[in-house]
Amino acid sequence: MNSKLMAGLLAMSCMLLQVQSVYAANAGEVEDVHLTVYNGNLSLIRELRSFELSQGTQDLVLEDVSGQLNPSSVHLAFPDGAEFELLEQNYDYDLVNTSKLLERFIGRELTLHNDYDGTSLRVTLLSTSGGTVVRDASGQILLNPPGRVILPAGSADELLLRPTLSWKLWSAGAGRRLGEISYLSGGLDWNADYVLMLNADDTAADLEGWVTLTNNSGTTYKDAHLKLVAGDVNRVREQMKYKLGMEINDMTSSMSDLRGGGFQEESFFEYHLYDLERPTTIRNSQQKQIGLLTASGFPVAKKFLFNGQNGGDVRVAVEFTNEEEQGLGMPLPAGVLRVFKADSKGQAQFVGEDRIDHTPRDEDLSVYIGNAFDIVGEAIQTEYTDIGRGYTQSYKVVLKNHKESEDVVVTVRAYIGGDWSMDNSSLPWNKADATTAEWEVPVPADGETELTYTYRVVWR
Amino acid sequence: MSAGKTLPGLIACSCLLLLFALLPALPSSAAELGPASDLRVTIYSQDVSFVRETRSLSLQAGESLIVASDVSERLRPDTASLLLPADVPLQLLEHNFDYDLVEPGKLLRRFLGSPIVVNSSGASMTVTLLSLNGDSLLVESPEGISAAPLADIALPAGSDSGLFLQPTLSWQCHATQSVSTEAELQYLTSGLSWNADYELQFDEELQSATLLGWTTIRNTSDTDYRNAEMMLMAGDINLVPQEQPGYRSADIFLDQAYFKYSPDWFGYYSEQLFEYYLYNLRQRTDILARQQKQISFLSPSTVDIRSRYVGRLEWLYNEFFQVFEIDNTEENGLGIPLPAGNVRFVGTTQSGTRLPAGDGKTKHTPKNDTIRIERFLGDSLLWLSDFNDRESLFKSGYGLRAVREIDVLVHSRLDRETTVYLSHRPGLEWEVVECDVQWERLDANTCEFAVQIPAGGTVPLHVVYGKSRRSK
Repeated sequence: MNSKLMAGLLAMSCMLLQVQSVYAANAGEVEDVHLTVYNGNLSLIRELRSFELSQGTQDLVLEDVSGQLNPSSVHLAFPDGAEFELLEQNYDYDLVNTSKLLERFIGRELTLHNDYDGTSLRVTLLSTSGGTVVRDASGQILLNPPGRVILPAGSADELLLRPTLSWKLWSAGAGRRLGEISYLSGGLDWNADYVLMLNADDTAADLEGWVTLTNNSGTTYKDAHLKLVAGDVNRVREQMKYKLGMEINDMTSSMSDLRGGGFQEESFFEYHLYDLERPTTIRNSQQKQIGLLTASGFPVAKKFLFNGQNGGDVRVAVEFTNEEEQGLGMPLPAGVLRVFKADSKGQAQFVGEDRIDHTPRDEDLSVYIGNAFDIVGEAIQTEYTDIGRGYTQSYKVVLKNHKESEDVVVTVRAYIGGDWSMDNSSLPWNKADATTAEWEVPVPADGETELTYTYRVVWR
Repeated sequence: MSAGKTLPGLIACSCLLLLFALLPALPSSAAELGPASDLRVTIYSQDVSFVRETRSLSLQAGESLIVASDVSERLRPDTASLLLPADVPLQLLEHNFDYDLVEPGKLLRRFLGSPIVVNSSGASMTVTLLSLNGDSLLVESPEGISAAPLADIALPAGSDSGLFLQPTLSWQCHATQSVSTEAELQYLTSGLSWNADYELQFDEELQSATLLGWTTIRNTSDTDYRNAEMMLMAGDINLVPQEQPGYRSADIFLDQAYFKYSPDWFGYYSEQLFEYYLYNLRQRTDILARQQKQISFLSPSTVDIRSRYVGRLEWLYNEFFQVFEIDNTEENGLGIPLPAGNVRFVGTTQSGTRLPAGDGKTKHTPKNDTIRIERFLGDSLLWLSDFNDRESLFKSGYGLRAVREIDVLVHSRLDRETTVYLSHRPGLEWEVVECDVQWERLDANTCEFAVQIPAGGTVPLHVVYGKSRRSK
């Protein structure tokens, strides 16, 4: 190889190494990353870095942190008892940009270079707001002069290229120390996705759940230990600052490196923590799905719902209980539940989806899938009577079942506020809650059923 | 061995290592899924479709990354799943969707503080990139700091490493032995939708009417679905509003090439699934990007129809509708589930000319129910004038009583005698006391008056309401 090429390669490699920054960069080496991701675009990132410390005062600088980090949440600690004192913590975001640079040159000389004829002009910059005003060598004032502005080399040296975290600290001794940096950041979010597979007569189902993690933070996390927290983010955020101290000292929670693949769930105060038992790499601009749970053959019920006052469509819901005896029992984090059913050829078809909330053990779920095609309902208000300190209202509901051979039961609900009572009803009803009257109306195949009811509302 | 020879060699090695350091760590083996075959597409009316594709897969034992990079750009990544035959010794660990795509700004940001080559006015210069602001760069060269446009820049080979050319689905998996099998890739995607379009042809005498129906399938995405088994789901499924990562909205220009198929060998057979109906197209078909396709599902059927003119009695409201009712029964030439859709009315004049006569909508109508379509007439054929609504008190033997009188003139431009049904909502406390036409109470707050009007004539309507004696 000839020497010119070598010199070139050497220069190139030197420039590559010289990723510019103001400080003598001491970023340490990443040993471990722990991510705790909450619903609602909030995550706690803990990085273990080994730093080569010298005795006395020095700077530690991090340039490649998450672009959405919350600077007031940053915390640096040396958990293995290194004697040190943190003097300053800085988050610098005074980045290089054209207008900022130019402002520094007001009153100073710069060069205007005309790219067409190659000539240059030395001028003094007078103003940059609303246009460029310069004074040339003869004292003439030029407004918005043509030409490319060239500032002297090195003028940008005190400015930064990327947002930078830095610490000034004093260390009692020299040597390699393990430090932990933790901070809150946005850009990482997760929720759950479920697939419910119904059987042929809609009486039982299989469920598969995944965690979907989305990373829009601008940073890739390699081999990170992942924990997901399911719960109401607002409550958690208040507890955050208090717990930060606790979590950082909990350094000994090293997880065994099992190829388990799945999540370990545990309760954690008033929310649930899902721990992935193996490290994973989460790239920037990536959405990752990891298996969460499976349950098969648990009973479900299909329900038809109709509003007995406003009418509308007859809705279809699939209901089941998150019970251990039924094969479930794991707290279900919020997410979208998609329902599928096999058609006559045995192929799975998508039949609707709904969002479910965080569902603890032993709670009931009702998932609204869609509207029934073959069942049609109509609700008419037939009477209204003013009774002085109140009123009575009468309704007629007609439900038609156009299925050829399937009898159905439609749950009709009326929502009544205030102090109410049912004057009469053509079918038995029950009070589902303080404001809801409910009927289970049977409608035979290819038939229709009518329901009439009158309720009275009084106020004292 | 002289120092002069080994030192350059060492430097060269470290330079190469540095360049390679820019590449991400690649997994032990990456297996690309074979091209899609045996496409099965189920299209819904809510701009969502469920796609199933057969893809061949072969990989070695150990840890691998299965990659599918030729997927629809409107695919919903959180719904994608890869199904494998039960006996395949493969465990799927994680599924990823990468949308960190190659973009000029993104590539340049990796070079902040590093040299790049800028070509301007024919010359190429190596400069250091200081900042990137939209379309302009701030660069530093030996002559100083200046702005440069984001145009004609050369970056070293490998700078795009770790970025993707298109959104990519991948699965991390672990196989105990080498695998060669056919997998099924399933996902939900947007960009494909369908709805029903009907045409109701009727003559002025309304002696007979003909109903035709098509399914209109629209592909507003950039993806072709070739030789696909196509199924349409008729019914309202519930969908959760979606936020899609990496989704770039495309301009929707429909190539207006649509055509209607009617031959007998082409068509649908339908089955009931869950609470909806699934229409299976008998033949495989192509659904190309930005295409609209119409396929008949209801061949011209002669039906009996009932129609009536309806309007509303209300201040400043002068809109009339012609309401058609068609029994969806076998005796009436129909008797199949009819999905919701738009209806185009076509009238035939006495001389036999067919003219478009307006639009309407219909709802999902099950078998043996009644189709109800409203045809908007405005005030072209029937209209109201001189509307008066006044309340007064008068003395009667029972004391003061409130009375409300409605007066209106109803005009017709039709060329035969008709009955117009006018509905009125007076308020829950009013009751009809006196009326010179037949009337009916539809519900607690609605009365309907049947007004007979001769051809081209005008008829007055007078209604008297009294305060309801239903109190106490």
